[in-house]
Amino acid sequence: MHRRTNTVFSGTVVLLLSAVVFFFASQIDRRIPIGVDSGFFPEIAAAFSSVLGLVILVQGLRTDQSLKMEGTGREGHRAVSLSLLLLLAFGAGMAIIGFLPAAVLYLFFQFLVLSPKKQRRIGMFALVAVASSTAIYLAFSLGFGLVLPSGYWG
Amino acid sequence: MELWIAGTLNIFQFSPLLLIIIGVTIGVIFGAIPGMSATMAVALFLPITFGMEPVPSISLLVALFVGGISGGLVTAILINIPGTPSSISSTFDGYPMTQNGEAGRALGLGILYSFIGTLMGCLVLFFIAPPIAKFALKFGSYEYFAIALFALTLVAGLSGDNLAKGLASATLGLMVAMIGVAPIDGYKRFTLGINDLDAGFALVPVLLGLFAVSEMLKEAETSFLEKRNGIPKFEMPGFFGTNWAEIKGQWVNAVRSGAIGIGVGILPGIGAGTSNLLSYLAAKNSSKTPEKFGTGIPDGIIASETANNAGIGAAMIPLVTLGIPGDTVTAMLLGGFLIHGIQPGPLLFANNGALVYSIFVALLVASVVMLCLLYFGVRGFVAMLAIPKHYLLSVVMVMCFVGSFAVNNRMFDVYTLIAFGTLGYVMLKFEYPFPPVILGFILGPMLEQNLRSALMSSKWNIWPFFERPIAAMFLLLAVTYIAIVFCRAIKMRGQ
Repeated sequence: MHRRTNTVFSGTVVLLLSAVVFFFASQIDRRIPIGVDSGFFPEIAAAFSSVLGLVILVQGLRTDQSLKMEGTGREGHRAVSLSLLLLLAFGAGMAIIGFLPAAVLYLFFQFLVLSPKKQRRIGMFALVAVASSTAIYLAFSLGFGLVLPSGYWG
Repeated sequence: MELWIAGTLNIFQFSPLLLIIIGVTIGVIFGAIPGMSATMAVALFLPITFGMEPVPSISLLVALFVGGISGGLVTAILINIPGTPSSISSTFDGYPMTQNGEAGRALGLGILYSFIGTLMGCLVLFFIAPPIAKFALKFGSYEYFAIALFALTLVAGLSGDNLAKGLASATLGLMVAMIGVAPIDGYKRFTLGINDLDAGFALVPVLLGLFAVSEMLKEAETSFLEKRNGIPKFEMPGFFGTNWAEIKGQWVNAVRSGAIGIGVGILPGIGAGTSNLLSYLAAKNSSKTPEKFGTGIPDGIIASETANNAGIGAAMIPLVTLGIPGDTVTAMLLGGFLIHGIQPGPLLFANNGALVYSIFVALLVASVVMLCLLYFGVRGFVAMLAIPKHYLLSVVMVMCFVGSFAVNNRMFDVYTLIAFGTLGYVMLKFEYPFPPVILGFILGPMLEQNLRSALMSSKWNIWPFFERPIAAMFLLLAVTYIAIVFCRAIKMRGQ
């Protein structure tokens, strides 16, 4: 991505976010007569943020068009997207099938995603996934007395 | 004196001592592995402290802090990659010493002067914190607002090359902190009808998301590349690779570097990442042979490691005396205090003096443990570097999930973790710094409550902010700092 596009885009997002916060802040009931109510501070923060958004936007527009940022590459994007999906699946899995099985599955697939092709050892990954999940589960549930999710069927 | 004895008795028991040893060990491992940090170590272990008594839990967190800052020197010296930003300048002379076959001597010096630096920071904490806390009892809303604003400004300005992005990050932190019940009148804001948001976001999942999840996603970008750690063999000769004559010859360098580390550490937002560079430059500029710096001389390592560790005790000063965290690690320590219902600030000394002195003693004990562990176990820590990152990061992720869930025993905090991890990764891609978000998130309620209280009591009159000397001084410092950074940016653009 070009540095200019990157900065202009982020400045615009900051501006939009400020506008949204200001809008919601202005809807807050005015309960304190002298005006220092719950909407006061968010309005100030949103106004300040919009100024910063504008500054970043202008900085972006003044940036040399030829400047490029370091890219991630196709394989990198794929690994990041897969890791994010795995995190979401782990979160959902914890609630549905319980912590232990979800952690084993998550660890196994995350090892696969994060390791270079030549270092992929399926058997070893499965072993480490089971061993480390069990160790974490036992340490937290027995050692620290935490109640971890057991899923719908737990 | 009674408080000192009480603090010492609290720490010299089996469980706090064991936790200090465990904390320093884990902290050193986190500090030594590039990409992991003291911040991540403390964040990860915060939830574990829920079930503990305050003294053992704070001992563990303090030990993680000491270990995390000290561990960075191992990789900085051996493989030219600083484990943490606090050891950046240790690479300048540490790695050349390794290349010259003096890796063991460089490690020994780094370990010894990390210890000396920590002791210097502790001494300042012991002697300065109590009078500051006594003085801070006189502070009101005006002073607290001004100090919090100054802290936030410093953090925002020093967290990257772009002041506007730093301030935007801090403002984002403020906005996130506004979600939930507002201070003073208890109005529910920005909750979008989601009941889980009534109490706002919990600190732990926000921290873990921004620092740990985003780091894993960043690591995923290059996960397909084959990476090898070429760790050289080393021997540590004599007493920490040095002798009495050299220690005597380096005392000016050590004291100057310690003073820089302490000065920088007390100021919110700057931290060990900057102090090690400043002290290295100071050592070079005052040396009779500045041309030798960078070629592998002990002076550079001594300057860097004394300064970064001296900042540990110094960074605790604003936290324990004012309740204002100076950086992300102390922000997390603040979380640790709050978990146990302890509110840091001037009243802490009056209401919970034994606990404060327990922290002081824990810091001292942790620094001694760090010295022994690194001296005798440095080979073990180096061996840990051989564990592939795909194992380490994935297991850390599982612990982050457990840690986030444990905050309130609800899945909402797990989803918060994922959301803030994604936000952190996006911020990385758009070059927005994290520390201001965290500081904004923590200081937001303090800023809002004190500003509103002050304006309500003065009936919208802003003059009391300028009539009260402490408040006026910090507001002036904040404005001056912004002006300096702004002028410097314009000057650089002109060049």
